[in-house]
Formats: sequence, structure tokens, C-alpha cells
Amino acid sequence: MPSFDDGLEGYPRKFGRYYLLCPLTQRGPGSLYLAVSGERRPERLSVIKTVRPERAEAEYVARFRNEANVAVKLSHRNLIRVFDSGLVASELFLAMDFVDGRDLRAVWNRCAKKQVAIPIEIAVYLIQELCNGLAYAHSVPDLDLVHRDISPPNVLVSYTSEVKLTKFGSAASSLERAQAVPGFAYGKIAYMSPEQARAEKLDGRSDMYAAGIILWELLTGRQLFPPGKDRLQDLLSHARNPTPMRPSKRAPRVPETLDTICLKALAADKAERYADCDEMRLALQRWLAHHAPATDAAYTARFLEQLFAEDIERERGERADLLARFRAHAAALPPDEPPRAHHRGPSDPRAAWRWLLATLSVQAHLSPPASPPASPPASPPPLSGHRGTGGPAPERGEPSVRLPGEATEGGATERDALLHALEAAIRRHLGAPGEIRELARLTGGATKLTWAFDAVVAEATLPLILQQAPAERLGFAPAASAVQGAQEAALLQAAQRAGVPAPRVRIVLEPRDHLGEGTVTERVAGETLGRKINTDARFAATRPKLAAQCGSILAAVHRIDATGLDFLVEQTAQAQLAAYRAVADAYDHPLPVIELGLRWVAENLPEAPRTCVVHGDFRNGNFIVGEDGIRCVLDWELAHRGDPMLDLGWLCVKTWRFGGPQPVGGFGTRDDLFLAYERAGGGSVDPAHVRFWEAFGCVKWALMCMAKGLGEVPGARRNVEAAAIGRRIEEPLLDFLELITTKEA
Amino acid sequence: MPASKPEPPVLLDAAIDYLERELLPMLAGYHRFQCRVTLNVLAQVRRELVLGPGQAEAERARLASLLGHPGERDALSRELAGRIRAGTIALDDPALLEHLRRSLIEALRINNPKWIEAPEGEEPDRG
Repeated sequence: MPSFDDGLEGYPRKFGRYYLLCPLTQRGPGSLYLAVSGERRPERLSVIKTVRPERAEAEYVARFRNEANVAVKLSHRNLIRVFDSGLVASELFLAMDFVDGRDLRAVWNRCAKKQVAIPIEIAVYLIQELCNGLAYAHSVPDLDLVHRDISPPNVLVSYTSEVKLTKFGSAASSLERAQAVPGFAYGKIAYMSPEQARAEKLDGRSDMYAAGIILWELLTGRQLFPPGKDRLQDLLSHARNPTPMRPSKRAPRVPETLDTICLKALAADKAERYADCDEMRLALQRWLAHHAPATDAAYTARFLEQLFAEDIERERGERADLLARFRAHAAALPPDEPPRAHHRGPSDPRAAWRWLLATLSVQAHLSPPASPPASPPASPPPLSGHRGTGGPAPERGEPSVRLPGEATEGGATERDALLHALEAAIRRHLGAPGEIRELARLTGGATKLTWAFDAVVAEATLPLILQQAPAERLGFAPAASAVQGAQEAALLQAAQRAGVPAPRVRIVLEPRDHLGEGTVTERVAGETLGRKINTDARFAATRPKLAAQCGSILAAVHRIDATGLDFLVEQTAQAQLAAYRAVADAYDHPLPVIELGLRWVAENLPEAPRTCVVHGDFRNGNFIVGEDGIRCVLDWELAHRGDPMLDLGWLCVKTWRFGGPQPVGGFGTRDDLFLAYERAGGGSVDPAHVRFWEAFGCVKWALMCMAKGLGEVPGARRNVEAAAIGRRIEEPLLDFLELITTKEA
Repeated sequence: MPASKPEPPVLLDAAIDYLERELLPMLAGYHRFQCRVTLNVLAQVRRELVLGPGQAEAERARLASLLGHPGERDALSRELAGRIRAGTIALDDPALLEHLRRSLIEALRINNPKWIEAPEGEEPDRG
């Protein structure tokens, strides 16, 4: 269940024949309360959902009424029981059973946070239960029901492992089919069946398809259709013509026996799926009986209790307090006082904004390495190389934003847990004794958590780096098409083979390591801060060589053999333009200069000379530099297949010059870069083509500033860093104007 | 706006002074960084209080001349954005480019004067 809001002023409150104990957090225009029936004892906890029709959009009210009509006709252990509905003081309400647990998305997110993979058999058990509820709902006589919005937030799981489907608001049934808008696709796109995305006629097998997607995602730890790189229309077109990968191919831990079940539920043609959800449930049940016969409710409950150990007791205590409060105050309540409604915004722009961020992989760009230090700069970790701990420059709002959820510094317990898991992993993969020394959290790209440490194995002490995928990327929050974990390891190894100084991978983390997805790589000594590389006297003799070195490294990057790297998505200039166009349109703040930028890009889209592996974020700040030059190229999360000139152009964007006078990373000339690239076999460089990507890079950065500054919820309070970044939008735009109006150097 | 004094820029100066000279030296790590960003934001607001009104009027006048009719600045700016998007104004129109360049430079005088003032080699750090 959602957590309690802070304020309890005005509660408990009489509401019809119920007493509202406290508001529950809820997204959307309705309000949600924990309540008790006021008439009988012992009190039974329930959840009351309300909406004021005049304050919500007509469609929401229609769904609310629909849910009331449909849900009261259903009764099954795998569906949330809705036992009352009606009107109190001009508010529509639904009363339903309280579930002492969480929704499936929260379960997933907690697993990600605790770096526990959801055990395969528990994933199968949960979906088996979901199918059981669906099979019942689909078969209620005369109702002809399709839920149409099966997705993790709508599947509740109690701490005692009961699985309960909720939110029948979007359901199509014989009760409301007449009112359904023809040709309109309901439901969440990421869980939409092909027939649903095409707005064709649906039946229970469309819900089965969504259950299949959830199963796929629980098994692999990834989103099946991450909205990482596509526009809304593209997502819809994916949903219409899906080509799901075998779960075992995506995540080697998945047994191939489950591929069959999963892919049958995900057949594009519904005639090729299971005949109904009961058949799918049976398939899952048989799988469990054969492969994990000990998996039952008690087994699942133990897992959930462990997962939420800290919360269960606290929440029960809070509820006991609320009930005590209710008993103490019930008598004193005025008889017919209307409840205070907690109305929120009409929609959830936050979700849309997250989607945008993910679409753009903005996180990586917003967080160059000189992030605010996680530890006080007075005591920098005694480590060089990888991410430095450079303090912020005075007077500037730096483009360094931690995403919500990324801790500034792990607590002591978390750190101890990490230390133990890491020691075990080192022993497992590299040998005894595996002692860890000097473990230090490094500031770094916000897309990963980065730790530096020394590991003692056999006779040697190895300087290493641990990078873990952050929780958000594993959760149901839209994941960008970021390359990480085993994929990143494969890419880095391919890069090594091509002669690129990429981090050397020592360990690809496995589920049994309990460290989440990620890698352990060899730590390379050197400087990463762009400003220091460009100003420090010790690099005075190095700087003149760096542009040429970038050229030959890039030629090698673009030679990387993509065999086996089919996870790298293809991104054309046109696709990127569409994504950034969507950002500009997400805010009601049309700026002439942004429009000029986007139109210029659209009118100057180049023909890519070829399509190859592209680093995607190749720039000063992502290199480890020593007196001898670039020792390592970091941050491969944005790698994709595309136009190689993107890497050359992005390297020249003024934002990445860090105070240096020269166009290439602040340290070198374009001629040096291009000549070295050609000499190293990268192919001939058309300077105008590189300039296109440099100019487009400026527009991209400007739109990232806009998105960050205007915030995920327009008008909401935001932190000072984010607000300040909004005011940096003119910097790249002025650079852009200069680029497109001056003759090439 | 009250007639009482001190005026807003003076109030801000007092706040900036306190944050910069007394609070900042006591801070480290996260809060030190946030305090610096806050100082930067306050300095922006202070510059905008002084420069903003004149800039807005100048921009409005340029927009009216570019579009050939009078109006509020925001409405004119929106109209220009629409025309650029619709393709009814040439991308290389010198008057358009000059207007955009000036608007950016004026905004940078408030948001980050160093971006336009610093000679090359002394650019503000950007990350």
C-alpha cells in the first residue's frame, strides 16, 4: 500500500458510513484514504477512493464509475474486493479491501534497491496467481470482461504473498462497451498487446499478453519495451509489431523452459497464445511442480517478509496508532462534516517527464564528472584515476545533477553489506583471500554507482573499480537504452580487441554476487576532470597530443566488430531529432531560437557515411589522462550504432572544452583530430558533417537544460541545482548561432 | 511594490554577503556546493532586477519590428517561434539572426556574464 502522508490534521474524519483515518499517497486526480467502517467493531480496515466529478476530467470520472460498476460484480481471492460504492457529499467513492503489502512495481524497485534478483520461481508463482485472477475475471458470465490495464502498479502483493489485481477502471465489459471510444487504445503502452495498440477488438488473451510482459520483465530484470529511444508513435508501432527476445537470451539466469511459456503468451497473433489465462496458469503451475516444487505461498511470503522487513513492523505500528487515534476521537467527531479532499493535479506529468529523460539518456549528459563531491572535498579518497573529487567551480551552476534516489553517500550498514558482498564476489571470481581495502564511493556519472577499492588476492593487491547499475534503471521506471552489466562488458572487450583503451573487465557480476548488475574493472590512475586536464601545468606537454590521440582512438572505436553486440540500438540523426523535438514540445514555452535550432537540424540532416559502433559520449571529462596521454575511455552507457561523425562533433561542443581555448575538448585543433582519424583508418572526414553534429550537440544540451530547469512537474518546487541549470540554456544556443553563421575555420 | 527601503538589490546584496562571507566558509561537501549554486542564483536575480526591464522592452521592440506589428513581448516571441517552426521565415534572415543573437547575449548578461565577457582561455568552468 502507498505510504502515509505526513499531516494527520483533521483525521479521523467521518465519511458516509466510514471514518477516514489518513490520506494515502496516490497519483492522479482521485484521493485515496485508509478507512474503517464506522458502524461495527472490530473495525475492518479498508481503502476508500474518492473523486469530485466536477474537478476531474470526464474520462477519469467515467473510468471511476466503470470501476464501481464492474468491480462490485467480481469476487475472487486474486482480485481486490470492492464492496461498496456511491456518493457522499458530492464525492464519488469506492470502498475496497485493504491489502497489507505493496504493488508489484514496488516489489521490483525494492529488489533493485537491495540488489536482490527476484527469484525465478517466485516470479513464476506471482504470475501464476495473476493468471488465476484473470482467468476468473474473464469468465464471469455475461460480463465479457477485459481488464485492459494489466501492469505492475495494478498488481498488489500482500506481505503474506496474496496476489490481487486492482484498477478495473479501464476494463471493457458488456456494461460499458457501448460507451467505449472506437479506435482508441486504452492502457499503458509498455504493456499493450499488438491488437490493443491497433485498437482492435480485445479479449482475455490481450490481458494474457500483458501478464506475459510482466513475467518477461520479472525474469530478466529489464523492460521488454523500454521507451528508451523512441517517440510515442514508435512505441505504439513497436507495440503493434512486437518481436520479443527470448528471456534466456536477455538474462542467462532464465531457464529455457520458461522461454516457451513466456513467448507463447507473447505471441503477436493472439490465436497462437494460450487459449485462455487458465491454460497459461496451468503451464506455470506445471513448470513450478517440475522445477521448483517447494514454491508456495509460505515460501513466497518468506521472501517478501525479508524484502520488506523494515517496513512491515513500522507500517503495522503506524496503523495501530491510527486505530487508537480513531477510537479516542470517534465519539468527538461532528456527525456530518464533509471529508477534506486532497486533490492533486489532473495528470501525472512526472511520468511523462521521466519518460523524456529516459528517452534522451539525459542523465548521463547532465552529470559530467565534476559532480558535487559525495564526500567532503577536504578529505578526498586517496585514489587517483577514474572519477575525481573535484570541487565545484565558484559562481556556476554546474551541469551536475544527481537523480532522485541516488544517495549522496551510503549509510554505514549499506556500506558494510556492500563490503561483504564484494569480498565474497572477489573470492568467488578472483580468488582468496579477497580482502577489500580502501573502499571509497566515487562521484561519477549519475547513471551508475561507482566505487574504488583495492582487492587482495593471492600475492597481489589489485586496484579495481566496481560499477553498479542504479536502482532506477532496474525498476519499472522507464529504463534508457543504456548499455550496462554483461552487455557493457562485452562491448568493452570488443573495444579492447579493436585497440581502444577501454576499461579492462575483471568480473561481470552475477545474481549470486548480490551486487546487482554491473562490472568490476581494473582501476587506471590519472586525471578525469576536464578543467584540470586543460589547465594543470603537469599536462602542458600532454595537451598538444590529445586531439590527435582522440582521432586515432575514435578510428578504433568505429572499427569495433559489432558481432555479438546486437543489443546496441541503431540511432539515426533523424531519430535523435524526433526525441529532442518531443522535449521542446513537452513544455508550453516555445523559444524562437530553439525552433531555429531544430529546424536547422531538420534541414541539414546529413547522410551517414556508414553505420558503425558509436561511443555516444566521447568527450573531455570521460577520459582518464596521464602525462603520457589518454589512458582510458570511460562511460560507454550511451554507445549505439549510428553515424561515426557524431563522436567527432560531440567532442568539439564548447560545453566540453572546460576553459580550454581549442575547439577539440579545449585542448586541440580540429585538423589534428581529423588528420589522425583519417591516418588511423577511420575514413575521410567531411568537416561540415562534423560541424552538423557539433551544432546539433549544442541544441541537445540546450534542451537538456530546459528539461532540467523547468522540472518534471511544471510549477512545482525544485532544487536549486536543477533550477540553475535551466538558466544555462543560452550558453550552447549562442555557440550554436556562432557555428551556423560563421564560415568554417 | 512597497515604498520602503532598502530596495531589492540592496536586500539581496546583504543576503549574498552573509552567505558568501559567513556561511560558505563553514560549509563543506554537498552543502558547500549547494550554497555556491544558491549564490549564483541570487546573483542572477540581482542582475535581472537591474537589467531585466530594459532588456524586455528592447526585445519587445525588436520583435515588433521583425514581425511588423505591435504586441506583448511573450506573445510576439511565441508568434516568432511559430513562424520559424512553420517555415514562413528564412533561417538565414539577417534580421532574425541578429535578433536572436542579441536576445541570447542579453540573457547571458544576466545568467552568465562570463560566457560572453571572458576572453578565450578564461571561460568559466562548465562542469
